[in-house]
Amino acid sequence: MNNFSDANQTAEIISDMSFLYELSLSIGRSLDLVDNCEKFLKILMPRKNYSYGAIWIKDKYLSNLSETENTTLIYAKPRYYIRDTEMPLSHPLFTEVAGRDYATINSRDRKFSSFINEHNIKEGTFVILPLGQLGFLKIYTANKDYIYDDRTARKMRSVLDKFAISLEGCLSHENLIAEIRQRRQTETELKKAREELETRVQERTCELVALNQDLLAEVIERKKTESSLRQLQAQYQALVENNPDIIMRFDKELRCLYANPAIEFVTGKLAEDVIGKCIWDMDFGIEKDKTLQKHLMSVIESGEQLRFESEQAHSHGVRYYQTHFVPEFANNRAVVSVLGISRDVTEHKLFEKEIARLDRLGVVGQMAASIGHEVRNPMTTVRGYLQLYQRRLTSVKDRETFSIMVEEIDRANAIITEFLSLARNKAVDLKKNNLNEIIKVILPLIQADALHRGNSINVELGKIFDLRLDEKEIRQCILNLVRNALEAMSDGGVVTIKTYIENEDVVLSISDEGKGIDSRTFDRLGTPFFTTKENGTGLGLAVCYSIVARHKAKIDVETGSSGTIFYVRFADENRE
Amino acid sequence: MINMYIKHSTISNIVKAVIQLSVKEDTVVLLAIADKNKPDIPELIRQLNQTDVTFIGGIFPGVIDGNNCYEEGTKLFVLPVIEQPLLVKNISQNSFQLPEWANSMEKAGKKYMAMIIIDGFSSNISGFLTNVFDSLGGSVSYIGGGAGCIQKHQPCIFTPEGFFQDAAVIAVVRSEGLLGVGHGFKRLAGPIIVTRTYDNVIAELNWENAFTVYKKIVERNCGQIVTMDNFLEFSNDYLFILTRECSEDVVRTPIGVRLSGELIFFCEVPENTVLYIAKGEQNSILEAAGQIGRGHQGLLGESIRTTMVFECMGRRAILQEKIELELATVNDDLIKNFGVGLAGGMLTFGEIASDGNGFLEYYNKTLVVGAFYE
Repeated sequence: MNNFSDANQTAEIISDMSFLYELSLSIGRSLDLVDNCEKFLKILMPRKNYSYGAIWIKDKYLSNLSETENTTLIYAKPRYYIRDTEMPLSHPLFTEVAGRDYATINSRDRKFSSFINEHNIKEGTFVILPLGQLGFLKIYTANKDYIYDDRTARKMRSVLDKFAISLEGCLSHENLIAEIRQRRQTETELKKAREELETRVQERTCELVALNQDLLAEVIERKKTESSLRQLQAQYQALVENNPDIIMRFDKELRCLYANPAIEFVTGKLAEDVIGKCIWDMDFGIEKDKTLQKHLMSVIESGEQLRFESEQAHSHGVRYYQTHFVPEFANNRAVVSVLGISRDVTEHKLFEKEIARLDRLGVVGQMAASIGHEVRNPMTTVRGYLQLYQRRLTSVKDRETFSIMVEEIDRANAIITEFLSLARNKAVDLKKNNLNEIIKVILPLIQADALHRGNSINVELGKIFDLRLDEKEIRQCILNLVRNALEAMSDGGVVTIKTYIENEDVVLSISDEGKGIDSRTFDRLGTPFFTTKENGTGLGLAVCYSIVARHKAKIDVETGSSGTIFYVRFADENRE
Repeated sequence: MINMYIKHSTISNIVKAVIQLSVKEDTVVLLAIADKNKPDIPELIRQLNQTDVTFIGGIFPGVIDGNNCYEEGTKLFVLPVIEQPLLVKNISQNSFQLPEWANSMEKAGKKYMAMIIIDGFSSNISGFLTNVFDSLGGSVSYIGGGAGCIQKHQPCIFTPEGFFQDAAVIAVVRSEGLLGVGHGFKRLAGPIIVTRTYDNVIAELNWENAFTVYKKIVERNCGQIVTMDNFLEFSNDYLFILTRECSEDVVRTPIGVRLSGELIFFCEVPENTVLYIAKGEQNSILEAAGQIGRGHQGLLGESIRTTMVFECMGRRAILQEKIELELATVNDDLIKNFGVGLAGGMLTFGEIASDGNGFLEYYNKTLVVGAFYE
């Protein structure tokens, strides 16, 4: 009996030893927390036929859950029973075992249900074993008669302590790994951030360099543009400032905002004296100021451009102006100012008149050429018969009548002769002549005529070069001009005949001391058959223009209240 | 639960029998087909698929009808199930995911019996069973065994989906069950510590060459010379057991030896495990069969729906023709305790049995008897 008992005891000891040996060697074979738990329960549960094993760790030992007063389920087998994975430390499951080596409760105990935090467990036995300070091992067996006594607890104590230490090692390892991972992650993130920063700095630097280059290019371009603008502005300013046209700008109150220096020529006022003044305060002395105001107002009100012509009397004659008013708009299309450009078109006007006069001369000349021959021939026949019949007459009275008839035919013939000289294509006999010499030849005749009229002739002949002239025609021209001058004056007047060189042209001037020519007459000077004389034919001055034209010379006229001057300018091409 | 033995495993016989069984919708037909003269399984599957009957099955080295063991024929069981059977393929790759059945088990309110038929030659059977237990836990009892052909590792599991190797099929039978597990092997030497292992190979025992230690113990017991050449003549009788408290010890049979002296097993043996070398004697093994029904007395006969046995092929090798004597012992024991005899079963390569309390173990050289009751 004793032998049997000893054998059983030995077998039991061997069984316990082998169990503790297996369990002990299963501990700490892995630094992975879950793996360590799995290996431990894989030995413990089959050997003891436990149905469920669960390992709970206090949160304060789990680095990522250190703030809570809970425990967390780290590992359990089989997972079929797992329900709660987090429990407060105040739960009876844990308070029951506080300060003890173990706690056991079976389903016969009323408190059993408060220990259940798993699925599908209704009866059996729970054993709660502390794992040092770290946490707890919860064991379940369906056997409600299972006994876990003090002896069993003592057998398991050292193994469980070792298991707890190994779990601490795992946690430390995990924490270390986590720290290393965190550090590596931080380093990686830092490296990445640094690289990104460097990349961004490089990109930004490249952008700034590019931007800088663009800016430099823009500055250079802007300087070029500014320089061009300044040049352009200078050019425009020069154009405007030196423009003979008057350029002015008026605001809506007709105040002058700008005027170029050309205004001085017309008004005698400096531009700076005009700028800032209203048009009615400018005192231009222009007769038609009110018309100008009216036109300006019209442009401001209508917003439409306006062109008009005006004339102004000057001490040296009438000047003609063509003015163009251009409205200037704000963004809302309202007129804010008016740009005015006035051009002196006097020369143009005179040229037009000259052209018109020449045209008229041309027409009359052609008529004269065509009809002169046809009229003269019958007149010659009539004259011949008149002289024949005159000789046969015996009555003195009849003879005087016939003599008058012949004289009238001669006068008509003379008129036709003059008329014929208007013809543009009349043949001229140009020869080397000196204008002074021609004057000297006809001077006695002229002086006799002047004397007869109670006037006198003043001759001032300058040194001039020879010209290619038709002496007969030039003589006629001088005679006509001098006669006109004499007829324009009252008694005691002096006609001055001058020759001189001006701008390489030989100039013949014949001036009188008459009362001048009114503008209406002035415009029609040289028109055939236009005359202000009671017995004039209106051909004298017209013939002069024709002769001068055939010599490719030019007649200018200046007139005023103190008299009139006719200039005959022989161009250089007449020079011999 | 209907069961039937078909002597000749022709396709027509099997299909005809299945049709005659008038299987209901929520039932499944378990076909245990003996390897010898087995039919063309893919063709059988094709024809069975035309019957609208749900079926699972395996190829076994033998089938059992009553207390008779046959090398030929087919044993059919019609089992009511709570879910469609689950086929798990490629169990050796350990990549399978079992469904979460906990809720449906909880709703049932009863501890049903999960039947597992597995390719007994697959590796990672322990891993698979751990995974199954992880999913189902103590919600069910477990019973089952390993199918296979003794000649070589080949397809041995079939379902309407096909014929598979390295696979398992699980069917939860709508019935509670009682389990009897026994092997009858007696400790001969030990404790011995498994000091170096890998996979299902033990390299060292007690820090010495595994074969050397094994040979020394066996030779001392039997008085014969054990060599690597005659190793298999002894390995069926001299095997290893892992001790368990409150449950049957687990038997591990060496199935080969390498020239390096490493011992090869069906299942892996954890390193640092303490085990014993045990010897099986016909008498002690037969005695184990008589122990199986004990502790389950009191159940009324009419509540037992059927009984089933998973008899290890290794036991037959030991018992020879006395296998039927063992089965008769079991039959008598069942009749004695429950008033119902043994319906039948199959010879297996490894057995599964657990009431759900404790880990799900894969036994060798073990006799597992299940009684399904309502």
